[in-house]
Amino acid sequence: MAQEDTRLKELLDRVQNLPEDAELPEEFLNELTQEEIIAIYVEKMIADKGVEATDELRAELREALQDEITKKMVLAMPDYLVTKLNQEIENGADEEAVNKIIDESGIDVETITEQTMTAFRNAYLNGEDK
Amino acid sequence: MERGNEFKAGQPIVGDEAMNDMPTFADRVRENVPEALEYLEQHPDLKKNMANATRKLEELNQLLESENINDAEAANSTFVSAVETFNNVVRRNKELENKLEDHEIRKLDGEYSEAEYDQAVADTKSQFVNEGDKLAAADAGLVYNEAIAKNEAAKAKLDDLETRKLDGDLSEEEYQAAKAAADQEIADNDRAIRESQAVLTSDKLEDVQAAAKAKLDDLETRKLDGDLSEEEYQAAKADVEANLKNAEGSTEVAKAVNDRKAAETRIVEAKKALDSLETQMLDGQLSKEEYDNGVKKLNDEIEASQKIVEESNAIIENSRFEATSADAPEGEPKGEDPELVEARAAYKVAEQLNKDARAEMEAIEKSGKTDEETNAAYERILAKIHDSEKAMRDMDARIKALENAAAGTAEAGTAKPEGAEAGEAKPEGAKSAEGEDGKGAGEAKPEGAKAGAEEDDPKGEKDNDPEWKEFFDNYFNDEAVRGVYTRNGVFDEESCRIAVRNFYVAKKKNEAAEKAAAAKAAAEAAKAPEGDDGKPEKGEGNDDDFENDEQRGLFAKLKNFFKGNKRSKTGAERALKEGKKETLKKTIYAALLALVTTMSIGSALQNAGLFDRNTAPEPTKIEAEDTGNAEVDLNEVAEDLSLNVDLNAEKGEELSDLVNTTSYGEDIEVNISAGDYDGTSEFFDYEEKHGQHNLTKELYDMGNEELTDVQKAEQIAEGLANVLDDPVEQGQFAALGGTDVVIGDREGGITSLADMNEVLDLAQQDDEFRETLTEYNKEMYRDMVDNYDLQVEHRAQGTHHRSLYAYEMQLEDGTSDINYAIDKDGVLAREDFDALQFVDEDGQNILDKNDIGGYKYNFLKAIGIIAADATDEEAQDVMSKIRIIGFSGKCGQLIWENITPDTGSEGTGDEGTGREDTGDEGTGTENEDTGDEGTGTENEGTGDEGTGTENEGTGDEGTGTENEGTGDEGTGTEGTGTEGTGTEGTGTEGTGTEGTGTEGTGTEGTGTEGTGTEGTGTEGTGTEGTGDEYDGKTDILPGEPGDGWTVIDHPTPEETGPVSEAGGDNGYVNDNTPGSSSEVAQDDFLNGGDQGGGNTDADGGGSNNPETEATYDGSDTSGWKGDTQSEEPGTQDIQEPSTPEEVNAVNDSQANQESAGENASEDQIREDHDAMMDRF
Repeated sequence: MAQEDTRLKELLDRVQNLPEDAELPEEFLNELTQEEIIAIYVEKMIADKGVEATDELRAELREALQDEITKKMVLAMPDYLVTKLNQEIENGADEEAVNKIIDESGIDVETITEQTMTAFRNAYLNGEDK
Repeated sequence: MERGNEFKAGQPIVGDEAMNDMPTFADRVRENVPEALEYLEQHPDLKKNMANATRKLEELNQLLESENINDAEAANSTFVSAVETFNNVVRRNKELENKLEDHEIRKLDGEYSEAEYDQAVADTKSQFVNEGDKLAAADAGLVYNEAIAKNEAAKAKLDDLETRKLDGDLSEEEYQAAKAAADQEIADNDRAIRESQAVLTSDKLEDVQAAAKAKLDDLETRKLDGDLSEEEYQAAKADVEANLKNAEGSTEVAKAVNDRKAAETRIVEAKKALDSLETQMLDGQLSKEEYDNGVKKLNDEIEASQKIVEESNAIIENSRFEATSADAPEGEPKGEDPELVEARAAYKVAEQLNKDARAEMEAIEKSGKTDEETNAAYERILAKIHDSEKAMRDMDARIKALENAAAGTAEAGTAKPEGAEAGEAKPEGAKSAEGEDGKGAGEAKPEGAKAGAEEDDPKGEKDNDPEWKEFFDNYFNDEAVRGVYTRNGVFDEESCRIAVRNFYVAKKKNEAAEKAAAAKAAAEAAKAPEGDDGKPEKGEGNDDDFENDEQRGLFAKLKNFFKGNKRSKTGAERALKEGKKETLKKTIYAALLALVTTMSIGSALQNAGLFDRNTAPEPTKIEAEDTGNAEVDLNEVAEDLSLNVDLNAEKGEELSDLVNTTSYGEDIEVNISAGDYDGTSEFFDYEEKHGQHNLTKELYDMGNEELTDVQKAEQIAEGLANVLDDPVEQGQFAALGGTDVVIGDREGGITSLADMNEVLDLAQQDDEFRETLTEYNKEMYRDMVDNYDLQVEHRAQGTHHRSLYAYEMQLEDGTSDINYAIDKDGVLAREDFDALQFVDEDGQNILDKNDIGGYKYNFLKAIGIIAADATDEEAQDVMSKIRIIGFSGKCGQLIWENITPDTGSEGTGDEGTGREDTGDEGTGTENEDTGDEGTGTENEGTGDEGTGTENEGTGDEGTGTENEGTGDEGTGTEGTGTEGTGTEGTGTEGTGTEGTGTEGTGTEGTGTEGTGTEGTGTEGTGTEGTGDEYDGKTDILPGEPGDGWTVIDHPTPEETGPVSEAGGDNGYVNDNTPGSSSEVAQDDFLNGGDQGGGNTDADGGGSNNPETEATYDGSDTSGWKGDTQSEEPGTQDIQEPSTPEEVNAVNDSQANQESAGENASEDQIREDHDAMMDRF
């Protein structure tokens, strides 16, 4: 946790030092984890919505978004892959192994993630308020 | 224009009446089965080997002659199986006969020396023998299935005999006689099961041996790893070896079965010949001596054959081979509908096949082998899994339907059994419920009590519930019910009371179960979403979108695993970048800061969700007033939808002027003013259609899970025939044709999108043009249907494909114009669907053959993917990167997918792309948005050079091979060369091995080749910003200028015109396929659908990439989606402002997931209830 904390703070510093109105550097994005990207995405959603950004709201949206991505991924999987992954995880497969299986399955993880996030955002912006 | 073969349905070709003149399946069966039987008569050897298929065909023929047959019956699985068996075999037989004839011709022409001729003939004849073996297997499959079904019925009959005996309906003597007959029947069936299973097992012995070896290797490895004790290892090893030995024993049984069959046939024929001899002698055609000699010879032959029969029977009897049990599951209701019995038996067979296939797959996966042979086996097994799962689903649905029908009939008819006549002494009752022949269902025996009534009060005498009393009064006093329990004039009051009580008890239980299920569903619906724990319990769940608990369970597990997925991160980056291009600095800062302070993403969620996560997001829709021609500012719409529209683009303003819509969103509606058009085709009734093109009508009953693949193929084919008069469909078809579409004033071929649009315009505006074009296309279509087999490829929800789309725009003058365009990003299917293919005798899809002048060539040229001046070589190279899938059953458009060295369409998941450790770098390997990843990676390492190098290597990468799933043929025949793939081209083959590193093609980037060892992974492809490059411009649509496709000056098109072989005057028929005679065509008519037929392995499987179907913004509906048109004729303005893409991305993500929703019903209650239905 401490290490992540430090890393985040470094990122924060770099952001602070970015010139105003500058485009987001690619290398900056490359360094972010998915978790961080989602956090940024959610932050932007809240900002665009025009509501107050509370920690609780952020956490809720982040988790909801992550769940939605996971759900869509599962729904896109053929039956045998669902069975296989369940078994592998029960047999103790780690994150790396699981992601490898998913990647090898041919499921378009990128597109599903992207489209799910876009839809999530649109629904939020057009949907109910929190 | 030349006419093709006359349409065999016998209807006139021209005229509106002939619009829907494509024959139905029953029509084709009616036409071709008699001919099939005649062919068998002329080929007794063939008939010998196909005794069972012949029998089925004869049965079918009788039905046809009775004129009672309908499509559903004709498409009954056992008929289809027999018909498919026949057609496969006969086609192959004819091909071999043709080959022999061809050898002879060549010898006469001097092409063969004597020795070469002899060798060629010997080779061909040996293929006959091989085919004979396959026949035997196919025929054995029929025997096996039938024997299982018959055995079930026979065993049920045995139980019924016992019941009737106890009932006093049979004397001891009668009972013993009937029992003996039933026992004999069961024994015969068991024997048939064993023998046919031996033949089937023997046919697949190699696979079984490979799987056993893999299993043994795995056991050894696990033992060495310490996962197994010595004892466990030895026990498991002994099991595997015993099973293998058993399987190997099948060979001798199979041979004996075939030998016996041949000998029995010889005996029958010899006896016929004896009769014939006698007749000839009596007619004076033979002398006495000739007669005697003939008789002796035939008798000797009979004797020898009888000996063979005896020896074969002994071998079979004494063989160590044991069949696997084919017993009915316990607890099956007695006296069931044979159809239900058969369906259950078929389900068990499919289940066993599935289980076996999964075990084999597991063994292969654990072996970790990636050689060609193993990969090929993997492909086959995957296909088996798909097919068997599909068969299980089909049978399950059928069983449910039959059970429901039985239950419904029983309940609806009150206690009065159908078929039971009042006062009739014979207790024939309950025919209603089960359709059981002669079963006295109304015979309430003491056994009835076992069905569920309270044993302590079997007659309900202690029950004072008024409801029960009323029920009892109604049923007990019902004349029909009493009639059931009256035998020989004597009313069995006690039995009747017990039966009525049993019925009541079961009814109440069922009602209780239904109520409980309803209450549970209501409780779940009212239940708040799970908290941060996120693990749904069985039967509960946050999300009704999941189809089963397995998915829910996986969802819960993946919550902890998925965040680290690199490819998901890539997608997330893309989503992030799609936001407006304003400064994100502040936002990022706030977000990261929040992360620092509240590090846990999994913090507790409050119950009140932000929005209801259990429902799909509402479509983004702008409700606009229906003001007809009211103009809408595109820019404003884009802004409202938060689309990434380049508002400053020049095109943006033009679009604003041209596009006249009143709403955007999920359901795009383009309001088109009515009555303001001049010269528009009558086909487009804008007033009624309200702007939505009626081009997305499903060509087949997509929701009907009971359809077999044959039926689907037939339905799609017929549906497609019915839309051949639609201008949008016509343009596509005409493009396939490739010849000059000379109609009226129009001259020239279709070699560009502009040409296609020109044809489309004319079809819309000129009735005469359209009629002529319809006939042109129908002729082409008939040729496809006549000469090739129909087949479907299953496309799963989420899989990706590309297609043309049609969009409609209202013009300034108030008219409307429809045009084609290509969606370079493709779409993801929102639901499962099927694509129709036409396959030749080699199983190749004729729409995807890489022949110059073939359908694929013509089509790709028409839509500009193959450059107009491309050389044949360049065209081949382009074609090798594209796989035409077929005609979408959803809407009739031709769909295709890009296949590149680093992706491979099999990446869709099931075709084993993933097996080869593609893993981490795999971005390039996936075919969805292949272009994006692929290009991304290429751009990383190679850029244009990469493309170039890929061109050299691509062919080798076997793009064609993978997609066909045809494996070896594909590799070689697609012109990919041998280096690249060599195997079924799942992408795993050779992509890495074939010089990924050495050739620097770009396979470096793919990382999928699982090579790892080739350095693909290490080349940093996947990590090199795949996806980072995504800006919509990196698609590798071949032929697209500027995307790495080097344009070279080439000769004019005339010099590189389509090449076709014999009969190629019209140029559009791929005459490279043999066996295109009408005779074969007729036989082929009956083929199609799932070539597996239950006995043979199907080729390939469906791809399972996630897909959704994007709807188009601006004009059209799903399937044919629209874009804004380029104003430059002849160009594909795919570089349009990204508005359509954005909307499509929005719409893609709003795919509605339908939940399967299965009713839970207590099995036991149902059993009890069914048992009760027996009594009535």
